[in-house]
Amino acid sequence: MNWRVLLRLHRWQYHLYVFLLIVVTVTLGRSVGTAPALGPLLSPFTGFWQNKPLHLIKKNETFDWPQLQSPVTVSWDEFGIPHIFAAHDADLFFVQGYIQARDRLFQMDMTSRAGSGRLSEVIGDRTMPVDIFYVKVGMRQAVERVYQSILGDAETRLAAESYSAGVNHYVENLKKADWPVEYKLLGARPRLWDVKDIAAVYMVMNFRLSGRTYDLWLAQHIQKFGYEKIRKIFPEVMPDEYGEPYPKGQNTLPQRQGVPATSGFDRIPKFQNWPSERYIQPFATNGSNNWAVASTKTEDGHTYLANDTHLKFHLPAIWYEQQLKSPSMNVYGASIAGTPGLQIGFHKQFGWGVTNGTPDILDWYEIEIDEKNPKKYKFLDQWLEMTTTTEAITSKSGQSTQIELDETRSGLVYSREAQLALTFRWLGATPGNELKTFLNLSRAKNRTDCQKAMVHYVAPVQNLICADTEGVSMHHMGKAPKRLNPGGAYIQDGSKPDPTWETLVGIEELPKTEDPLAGFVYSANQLVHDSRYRYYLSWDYDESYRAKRIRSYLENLGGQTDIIGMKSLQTDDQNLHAGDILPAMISAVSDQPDLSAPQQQLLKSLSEWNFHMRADQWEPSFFDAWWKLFEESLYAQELGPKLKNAYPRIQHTVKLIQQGLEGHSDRELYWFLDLKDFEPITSHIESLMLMSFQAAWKQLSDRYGADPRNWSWSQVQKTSVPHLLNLKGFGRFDLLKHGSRYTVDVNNGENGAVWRQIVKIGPNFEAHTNFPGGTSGNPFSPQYDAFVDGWAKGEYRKIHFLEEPMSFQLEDK
Amino acid sequence: MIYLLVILLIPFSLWLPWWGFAVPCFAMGLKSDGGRLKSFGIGFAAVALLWFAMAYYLNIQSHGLMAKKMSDVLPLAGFSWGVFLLTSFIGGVLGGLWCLAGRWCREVFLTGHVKSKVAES
Repeated sequence: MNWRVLLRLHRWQYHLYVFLLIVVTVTLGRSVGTAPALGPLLSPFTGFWQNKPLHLIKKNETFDWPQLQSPVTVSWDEFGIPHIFAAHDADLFFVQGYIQARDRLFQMDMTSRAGSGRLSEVIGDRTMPVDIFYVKVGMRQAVERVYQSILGDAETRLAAESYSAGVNHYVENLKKADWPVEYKLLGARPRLWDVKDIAAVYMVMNFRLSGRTYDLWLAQHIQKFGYEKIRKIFPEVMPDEYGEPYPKGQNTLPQRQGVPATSGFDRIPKFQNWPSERYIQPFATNGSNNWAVASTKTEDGHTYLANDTHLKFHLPAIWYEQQLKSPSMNVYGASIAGTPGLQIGFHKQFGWGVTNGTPDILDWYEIEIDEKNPKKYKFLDQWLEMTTTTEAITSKSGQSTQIELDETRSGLVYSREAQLALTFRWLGATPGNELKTFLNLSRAKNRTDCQKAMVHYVAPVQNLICADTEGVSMHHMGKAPKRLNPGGAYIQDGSKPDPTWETLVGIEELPKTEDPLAGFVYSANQLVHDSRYRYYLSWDYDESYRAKRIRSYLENLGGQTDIIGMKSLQTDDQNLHAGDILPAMISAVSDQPDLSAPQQQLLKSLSEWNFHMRADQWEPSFFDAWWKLFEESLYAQELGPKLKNAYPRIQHTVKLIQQGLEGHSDRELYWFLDLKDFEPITSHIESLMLMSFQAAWKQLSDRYGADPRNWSWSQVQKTSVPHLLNLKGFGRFDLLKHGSRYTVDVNNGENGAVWRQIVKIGPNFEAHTNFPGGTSGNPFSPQYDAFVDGWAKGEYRKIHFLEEPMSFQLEDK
Repeated sequence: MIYLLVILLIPFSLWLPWWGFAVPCFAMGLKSDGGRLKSFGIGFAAVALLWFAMAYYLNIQSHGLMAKKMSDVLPLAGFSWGVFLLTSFIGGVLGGLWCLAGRWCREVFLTGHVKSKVAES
């Protein structure tokens, strides 16, 4: 047989070849499962190669589109921060939308989708649990309400529609090759923006800050142990010493008559099918710091304002920094990408700052349901019908889920079993027009304007600082259920109306202080009133370590306030918790005979530590490990592991331990300890401290080696700023960063100060900002993470506050 | 031949979706005087060369960040050159296969008109 005859191609073989080749080509053009479409991704004509960074080639831009009433100029400074100058507000928001879309389109899209339970349409099956959760808590309905309130007001409607139009002006003209790289990797496409997306972005932040469902975890403890025992370690009314009330000013807060009632809440919930999704857990590190020192107190006669917001680190950064100038405003600050105006801002005569107020605006109820007809529930001795709405969630893979939302007179049903259901009410789901508040703050000239802006705001409650050239004030801004008693901490009886939700406490009665005698205001998510205050806002605030540190620092400064002092406080890493308890722990174990020589050496060094959580030191790592193991040894036996169960507030634990070591004799208070019959509490605690010391030593040696110098804090607590999709190549990892959970400079490796600003208000105005990210959301741009390293080192940028457009010499690399 | 193909590739890649380069490759294969290996080689070399050169140029505009970061996003162990190799390889192989398809098309349908190297047995 002539082999050349065999090699000669027959027609059918040719057709098969071409067919297969077409199949291969088409397959390479589609994403398969989680793998991207390699063909279009790698092609230099359409793929990621086309995502060239913008900021290398941008100078001043003047936009003169037909949609604008007059040309708008954007000056880009050497940091890549835009300064937008417009002659009409509508134009200002239009261009703000355009450039935010140009820089952060993917991020905006994802944030909005998170708020509407639509992430899976773009990312796939792996985000279904997140989407299901947010749909179950009624986010889509809440977004719809915010949307209607934005459209219902002329001012917010103009801003929102102009902004959206600007975004769409960018998206409509976007060529496929210019789609952000994440879309190319996901095999998804960008979409048009709508006012509803702005509402969704607002709701995401709202839930992040107020969707605390710690009450559920507490309820499970109560079921197991009863109220008497739980109240001892979870005081319903937080003792004054754990809080830091607003500094006294002229205002008198409404006072309560008598002692808060605690009886009436011995109703043990019967529910068993407790939900366990991780989104139900408390969001402990989303908070912030703010403070302001009045010009009347400072030597240089300027008012100083500082604000750093604490959220999860990710790239692109949550905040977008810019200056906005139009006839109605000239303001610099940060906005959440995807929204018009600013949420934190300032100018030469005025500034505002926010921290999360953390009143409990989410309450849980137990209702009886009809076993045979689960849509029927008991309310005021009558069987009522739930109102059901069905929501569909679809995934990129084609998979789809239906969620039924059942509304009752006691809120939305979250969890069911045969005869009972858990429902909840969340004030964040019926917000006001928070956008209007922020737009008015963006236009405010002074504190009077600032206070007027608050009226439209409902949730989430914030500690708002208004600071101008004359002085400072702080308000608990928003609304909360009007509770006289601690009911909101528990699962309440849902078979009857809850009067605390019928009228709400508003700004007039919530904590506030204007022109405080101390000359400064401050907040750090702590309890902001004392026990004489009339209303019961929450049982669960953040520990006041940061607030106390801020207060004592500002008190010591006296009038000597300056920018350097403010920066120093904002990046302060002194751990008051360690200062409170470590000396007692050290002396408890120091005399023990079981310690080895290196361990004794370690204790000696530890006792010389200054309680600063520095990245390069080992003492923070040892204290952190020792405390965590000690705390777990106290409670794990009865309450379970800390990861999945409510634990008492650390300040309360510290107090219990200190009292125990001093020989406090009430054994009932220490029910959670496994005390033997006549064992003194003191020695029991001391032996737990010794045990956890040994365990900490072992844990660190096993992981990092026997030499404590290898246990540096930044090794043990790695600080990362990951990409939104967790793509390793697009994130920043292993940053050298100081700080811990309870230092003013909050850092737990994943959460911390995602925005920092320090403003000197007055004739010699200056302002300094920084954040862990950059202007651009394009991972290939040097502006993507340009500020991360400086931020980690505690550095700031002195901002440009322009009165008119200016040309900057762009950084030449 | 290769350079002619490279030039032809550009308008087709710009005005058609990502697979547009397949068209001039196929056409070049139809016109090719060489054997199968040579046809594949022309397609491979042209596309690989063009894609590599463009990628290299575009990468410089991002100060090398594109290749570096994508080498971590794709399973290339942080090896930047791997991204270039992968890009050139995928484009080149497809280009070569399409060129080969053109060459075979001619062989199957137009043998009557072209001097065939394979002797009829």
